[in-house]
Amino acid sequence: MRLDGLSENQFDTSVANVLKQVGELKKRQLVGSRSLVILYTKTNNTWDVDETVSGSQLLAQWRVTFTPDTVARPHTEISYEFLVTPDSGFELGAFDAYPDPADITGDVINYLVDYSNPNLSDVNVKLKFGFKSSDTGTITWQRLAGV
Amino acid sequence: MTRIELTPELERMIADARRDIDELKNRQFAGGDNLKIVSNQTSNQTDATLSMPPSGTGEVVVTFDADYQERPFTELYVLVGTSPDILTPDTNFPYTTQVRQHIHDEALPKRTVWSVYFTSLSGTFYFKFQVKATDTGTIS
Repeated sequence: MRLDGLSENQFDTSVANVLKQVGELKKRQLVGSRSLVILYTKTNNTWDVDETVSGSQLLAQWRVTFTPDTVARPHTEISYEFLVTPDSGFELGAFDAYPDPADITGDVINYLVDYSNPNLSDVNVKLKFGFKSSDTGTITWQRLAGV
Repeated sequence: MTRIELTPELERMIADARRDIDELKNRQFAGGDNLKIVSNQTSNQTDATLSMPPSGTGEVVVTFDADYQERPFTELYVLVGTSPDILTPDTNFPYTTQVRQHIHDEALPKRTVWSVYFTSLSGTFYFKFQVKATDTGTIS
């Protein structure tokens, strides 16, 4: 539409329409399933952790860190898979993952992943991590001393 | 060519609109009262049953298929009871539950899967699941 083709009355109406639409945009915009972009980050590794846990170790523990690319402390959900070789038959419920209570103020997200070792001899433990988040990021992990 | 006379009132309206549009072009925050969270559950009285051996651990796999959103944020709530009518903790049957979210399947982007590990004394236990999520969906 060319402005120089409008009469003064039509111009008033056009401006009023624009204002009405701007007013609608300024109302609360709900963010939900159709507008909230959530991303998933995982490494290209088949397994992230591939380590031996001694039969004398009751608890093996890893700190898994999600370092977001742009946002400090985004909401995240950790997911993981595990494989213990040989399987003792008591691996169900032996793993647990939860936010690291020692670090809630930093800009990165730390989780602890525990393995309550039911074995008396050495086993191989494999773990694969993934994070749902509102940001992309990098996943790193570190074996802690354990018990 | 017709010239359009801008009255003071029209000029003010256009200035207001420009300012509003500039505000809207700024970063729009999502949170507080504009973030929509939905509580999902089935219409079933209970969703799963486990018959536990003495001091054993059982596993129930729970799937949430979102209606629209890929990789929705989710929280799984697990209600457990020794009767399908009373899904509350029973002190005669101490138990623990652990929840593990599976690695996301890229081929099924709307799906979230958990394993619920349940450890208890022997008995039959009934489970009801609720998923708080950024989308509606189906629990199975």
